[in-house]
Amino acid sequence: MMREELQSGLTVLHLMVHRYRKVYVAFPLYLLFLIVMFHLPKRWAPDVLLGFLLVPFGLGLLWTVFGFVNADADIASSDTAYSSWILRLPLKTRSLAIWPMLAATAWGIGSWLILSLLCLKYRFTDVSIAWPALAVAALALIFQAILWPPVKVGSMRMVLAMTLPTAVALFGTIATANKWTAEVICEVYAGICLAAAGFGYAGLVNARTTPSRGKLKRESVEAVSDIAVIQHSKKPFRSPEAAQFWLEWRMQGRLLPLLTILVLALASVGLFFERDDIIQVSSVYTYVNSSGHTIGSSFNQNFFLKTYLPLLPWVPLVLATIIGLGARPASLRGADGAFHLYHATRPLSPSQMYWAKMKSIGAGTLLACGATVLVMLVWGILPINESMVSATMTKWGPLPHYGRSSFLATELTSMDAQGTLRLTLMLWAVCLVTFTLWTWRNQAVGACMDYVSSAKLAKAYPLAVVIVSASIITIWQSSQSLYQVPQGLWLLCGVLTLWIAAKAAVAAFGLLKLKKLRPSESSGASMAIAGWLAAGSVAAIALGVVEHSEGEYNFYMCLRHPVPELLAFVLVPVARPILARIALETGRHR
Amino acid sequence: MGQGQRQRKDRRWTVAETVIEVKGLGRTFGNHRALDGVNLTLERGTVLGLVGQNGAGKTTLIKHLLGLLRAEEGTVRVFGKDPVADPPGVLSRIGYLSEEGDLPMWMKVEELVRYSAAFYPGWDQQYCDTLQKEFGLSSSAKLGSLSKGQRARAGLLVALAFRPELLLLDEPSSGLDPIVRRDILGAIIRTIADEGRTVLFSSHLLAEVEQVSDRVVMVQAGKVVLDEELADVKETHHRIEIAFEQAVAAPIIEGAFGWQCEGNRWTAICRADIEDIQLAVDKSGGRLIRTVGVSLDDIFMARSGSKLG
Repeated sequence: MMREELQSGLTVLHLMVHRYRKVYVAFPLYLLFLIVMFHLPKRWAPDVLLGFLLVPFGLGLLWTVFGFVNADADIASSDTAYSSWILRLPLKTRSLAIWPMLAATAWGIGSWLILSLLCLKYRFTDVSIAWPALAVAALALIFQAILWPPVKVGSMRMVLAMTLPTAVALFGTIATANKWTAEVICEVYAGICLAAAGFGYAGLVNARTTPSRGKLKRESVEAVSDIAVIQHSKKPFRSPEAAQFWLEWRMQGRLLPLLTILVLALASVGLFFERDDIIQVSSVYTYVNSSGHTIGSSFNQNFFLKTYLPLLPWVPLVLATIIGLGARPASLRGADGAFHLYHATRPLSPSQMYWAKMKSIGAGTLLACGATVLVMLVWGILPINESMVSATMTKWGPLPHYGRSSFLATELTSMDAQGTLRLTLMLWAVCLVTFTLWTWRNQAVGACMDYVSSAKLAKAYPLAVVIVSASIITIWQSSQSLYQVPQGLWLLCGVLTLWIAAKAAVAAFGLLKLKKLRPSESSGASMAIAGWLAAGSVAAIALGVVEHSEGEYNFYMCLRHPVPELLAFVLVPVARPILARIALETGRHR
Repeated sequence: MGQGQRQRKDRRWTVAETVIEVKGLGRTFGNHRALDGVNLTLERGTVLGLVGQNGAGKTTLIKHLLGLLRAEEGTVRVFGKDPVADPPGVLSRIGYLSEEGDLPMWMKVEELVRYSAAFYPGWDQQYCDTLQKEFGLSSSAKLGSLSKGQRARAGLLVALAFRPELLLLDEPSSGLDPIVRRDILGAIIRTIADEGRTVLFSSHLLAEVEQVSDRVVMVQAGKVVLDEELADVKETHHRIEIAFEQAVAAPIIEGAFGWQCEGNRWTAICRADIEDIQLAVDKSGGRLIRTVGVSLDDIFMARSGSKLG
């Protein structure tokens, strides 16, 4: 009996991971390599290098654990994401559920234990072992619980898959920062694991015993198919471009504002519980009195608002980055890379298709950023307890008066008193504009993956972006000493110049390619390059001015002129938009 | 003779206007030669049946006509234009329906109609409503929740509602029930009835092709092996049965293909005049037992090397 059960389990696991078996061999080899590297003397394997080598760990772990959910799952679908042909095998539901759950948790916990005990502990003393292991297990089980059961609305599952695992992953860090003990955090994670396993099992039972939602709906439609109702509830589109904009808006544009509003709403829940959570800020106003003593004053502030209000502009930006990486179905092509025949045969030029997408992304970005500003204002004007409403200057220094006021009023009073009001407001305005542009940019550069007709490339793109970004951050974080010496300036200048040269070369190659493929529209690519030079120049001037005004306070030596100016040309997109245009051309007309 | 052919015969055009012109079209996918020197001309008002085995190159040819594939060799012109160079100019005049359907499943029928209507200046909303009623498609139904047959009808609805000058149908009735197939055939016949409309119809169901086409093109391994008026095809092709005194190798008769042997008797499909066949048989030392007319199905089977029925 036990032997049969084990055999069934092994069969299920084999079927789940067989297609990606090379990854399951490569990941342990990578771990082995890490163990060797961490055991080398520090002069051979400096912390910078080790930090860099750790970058693929998270991705590899996520990928291999996800294999036990279903590596080819369509998150946006409303049907079960459990591989349908494995689901139909003559095996007990128990075998189909429990073995992948055990395998996913064992793989996740095992990988973390190997990394933490055999690698990290050798270099760093302060490494938590238990709760991160349970967090990985909880994540694996949550993915199974979200993806295995059929759901009513596919997009609801997508929202859950984007938010719930993030919240669970962040919980441990936030709880540790709030001085929760490791035991309590472990207990919470164990509870999450049990609940997720229960949901996952029930979901699989549901997936096995009920027909797909598509089929259910079909049957209900067939039953009334003899009653055809002709409706024209909406006006016709005024132009093909308007119709295409509508399509892109439905497929991609509206996703960002919807997700942003959801996250902002969830974040706002915390405010209602934390409205009275005040902290005392000391030495806000300081001056030297006649006796030569420094006098300081203090006043109370709302901890929640002080901490989280500045984080809100990041919400649309982070979500746009995730969406831009391809975390949703492409509008024109299927998962296999082939363009949908219906969309590919619309009587539109590739340029019209492209600009419809860009406009829908722009509209979505404006809405998302607008909603964020609105929520920030609401947070700011909500009355909270124990804020400083005014201050009277006495011979002992400013005397704050407390009462019930809005956070914004407190902040403005504080800034006014410090003489930084104008500068801060300007800074906020510049930040909002920058964040809005950056949000649009992150979605726009990712749009090229919507058109690329290679399924492999589309899957590899998010991985490549994450690895490159993580590598840059790791190197940056690990090399602070280098960036604080004058030589760092020239090193960074060299790297950025090479980067710009690579971008320019790709753009020029794209221009030539597009000229060959569609001579009538090559001016568009030339415009893109001209736009890059123009937007890059504006950004370079802006960053240059910031550097000039903040120059002496610069934390990094290497951020002095001409680094900000070069950085502007690196950040303003040119290569990927042109590549997107080529991908659309070659994908639609292969 | 099919209804389409009858209507076609009634309105023979005096001045032929070329709708499709394909010259020396070649295409290779990896090591596979999908199309090899294909030449095809289609005049306005013609109903062309495109037949061939799976992988013969029918869909590849149609994708070239739609501009979804660039011509590696040769040229493709639809309405005198290159469909890759001018997609709006060509696609706005073509109604297209494929086996895959590939409609956006998240749309409702009403949304599909509204979205599709935006692209065609000649969209006839009244005709669209008539077809929608006829097909029993509810405006509020989501495409993803429709059955395969209903989805095919929805695809047909948006392919026909703007009264396209050229209707391209790529295996439209494959895997569908007889009622939906009848709707599709009905649509083709209606399109033919519209003065000056042209249809290119690819199908495995040769009985349907016979019913509506007035010209047949057969593609085999990327090459056009037959391109004739349907009436001529049926007139010039015969099934022949030859008997010999003793078992011999397949006789050599010009125009004969798909030879099959049973004892000392050979059967084949032959494209020649009866007199010429008789002469050739006499020359080979055999005796012509009988010649009978053949269906398109027989010709297709013989060309593809399958056993004749």
